[in-house]
Amino acid sequence: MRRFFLTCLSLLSVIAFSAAQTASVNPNTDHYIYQGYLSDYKLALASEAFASIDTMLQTYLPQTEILLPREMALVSLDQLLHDTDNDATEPFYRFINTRMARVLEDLDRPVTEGLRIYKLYNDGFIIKSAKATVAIDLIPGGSNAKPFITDSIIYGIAGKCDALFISHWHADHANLNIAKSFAARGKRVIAPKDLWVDVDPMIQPLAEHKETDIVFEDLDLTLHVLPGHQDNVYNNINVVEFHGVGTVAQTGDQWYCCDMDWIDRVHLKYDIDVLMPNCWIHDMERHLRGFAPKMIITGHENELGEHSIDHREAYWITIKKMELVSALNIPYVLMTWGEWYDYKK
Amino acid sequence: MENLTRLSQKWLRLSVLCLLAIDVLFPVVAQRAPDYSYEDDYIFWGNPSAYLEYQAKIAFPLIDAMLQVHPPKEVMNQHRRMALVTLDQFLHETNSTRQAALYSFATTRMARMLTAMDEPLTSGVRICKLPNSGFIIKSPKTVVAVDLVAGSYAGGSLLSDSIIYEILFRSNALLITNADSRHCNSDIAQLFTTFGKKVIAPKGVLKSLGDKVMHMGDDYVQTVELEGMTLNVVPGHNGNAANNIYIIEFTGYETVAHTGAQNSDADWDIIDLIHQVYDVDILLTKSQSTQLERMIAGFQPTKVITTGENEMENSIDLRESYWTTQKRMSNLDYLHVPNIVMTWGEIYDYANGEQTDISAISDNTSSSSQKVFKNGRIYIRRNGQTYTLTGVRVK
Ligand SMILES: [Zn+2]
Ligand SMILES: [Zn+2]
Repeated sequence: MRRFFLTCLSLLSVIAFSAAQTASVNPNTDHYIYQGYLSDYKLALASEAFASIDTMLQTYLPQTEILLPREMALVSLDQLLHDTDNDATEPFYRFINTRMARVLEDLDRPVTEGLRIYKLYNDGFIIKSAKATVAIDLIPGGSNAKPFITDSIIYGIAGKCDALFISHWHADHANLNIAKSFAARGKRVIAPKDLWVDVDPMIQPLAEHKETDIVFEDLDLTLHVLPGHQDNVYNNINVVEFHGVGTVAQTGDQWYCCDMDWIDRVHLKYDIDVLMPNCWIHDMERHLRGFAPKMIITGHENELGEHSIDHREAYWITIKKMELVSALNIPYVLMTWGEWYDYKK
Repeated sequence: MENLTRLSQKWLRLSVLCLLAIDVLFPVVAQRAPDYSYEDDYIFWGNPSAYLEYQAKIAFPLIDAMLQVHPPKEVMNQHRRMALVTLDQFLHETNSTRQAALYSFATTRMARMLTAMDEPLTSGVRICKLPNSGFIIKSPKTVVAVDLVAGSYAGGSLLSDSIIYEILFRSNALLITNADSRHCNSDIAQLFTTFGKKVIAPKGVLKSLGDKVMHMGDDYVQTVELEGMTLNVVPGHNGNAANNIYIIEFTGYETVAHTGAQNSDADWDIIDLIHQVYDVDILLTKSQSTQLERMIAGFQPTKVITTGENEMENSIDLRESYWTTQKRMSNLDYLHVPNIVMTWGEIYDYANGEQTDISAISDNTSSSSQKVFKNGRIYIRRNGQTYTLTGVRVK
């Protein structure tokens, strides 16, 4: 009975406490005291940490050696992005949109030599040469009701690209509204077989899931689609050859043992400058040997939403995984959302 | 009917998700050997707790390295700010399974601090920060510990027994401001008395130790001469409980004050006047207060060093962060009293109104070695050779 009474009492106090938390406004916000206002505290902490990270990442830009302050910032970001309390919060939206807005602005800056490679959420990349700007797996993230990246920024970015290549149908790679925005401007979208069939003449799924070359004369580039898989899902590995400038390859969500035979031989046919593998690809070493790129920029870290935190691949995990293949001596650049790297042969 | 459809949709979605998960996880799980280690592939799928534990193991040494390169200073640079706000993130987690990394972080820093603390001091004071409100303050003539506790987290102690002993052996006295377990530990106090060290505590605190403890703090300010210092005890309060404010005049050197857990409005008439009687160089005071301005105005110190950040015994919302301390202090910039935000195991040397060069003592190896910051990494230079922090020689 006594226990029952105590339980009731503690239940009551919990209810009273949560009521106090939700109903009232923290009187000590100006003093940065959050006693009794845990969610306010966590929001304020996230806001402070995201700002610190953003400042540090702007000071220590992506390069082939990861300096201590940059590593610290990335691990700090990993910690924030693995605390689900920060999912879909204002500090997160501000962070990602601030960084994406910089990409939008930078896309106006001409590239005179080589390739500028932008990393976007989630496994998205934009590659810009002097003559062409192509997007791969460009998505706004989040849900349709509340996308991570605001319409004005993501469609602004899309509006500055000349073509869109989609690896596979999963929502973290393919977004029909984005594809339609390309089509509406008369820009081609190359999709895997069976995706978005008969939606728009400019949205062009492959007729067969097989190695396919598509020439973009106006952009002075050739897209070589390699027929990969994520388990049983068609997954286009998009190898983009900017004529005379360089070749990049993005692997989408490649994850399939039975493609390994031909992947082993990719380097015999293609001279890959930059490989953008999904950071969690199985057997990273074998893929690197197969593609034999001159440089690596991983993608798909910190995918939020569907995955539980153990599969939100952290930046520090990429660092560790790349250490495991360091004997191959291929330089890699670890980038986060809203960053870019100028690649020259 | 609509509910049923929604329910079946939910189940369908769930089972698709499960299938996806099985699909992705199976190849990995299937090939794992019994002696599998996460270092083999860094795949943590299906084990979020192991993931977070490993993340802490990665992060704490980085934080430690950043803090070593960017030690406490009045003006905090973005590197130190980044390290501290990351530390705040990790110290505001609830899951105790990741605390092994925290323990080794604290222990490493304490061990390094003790070595650095032993470097000779010829003038001024050396202030070493411990968990909670704990400090060791050293002058050329004496060493005093204030509010030394082991600091608890997840049922364990942040400071090991051996570190407590090392502090004890270096100290001449222990000052305890109040009875709260975040400030006072009777086992530690007893240890000090056993080794013949002076222990000073408020009246009514540590009664069990009887007259082995010097009980001070009354209705008026008391003063006592101790080895190398004149100790002034201002009778303050935390709520209704006694809380001694200690004003330590190090004989021939600086004056340092510690306010413990002072928070009672009843004592302002004394505190408001302290600057008229004492010339306080450094004020060690609890940052988490809505009356910080009045406290600083009362003491009018040359510098403020904040106390009580990240007390792991507190609930997360109450656990003061380094970043909130910085914000609160920057609200008081107009007082023109510089402040220093320190974390566990850090040292601040002060003499003649200024911070003295600490580069010679912040070294983590020995006085004959020197820390260098090159290409964004820290190295140790010793006898003409360069080493990584883990002791690997760099060609
Ligand atoms: Zn994906
Ligand atoms: Zn996928």
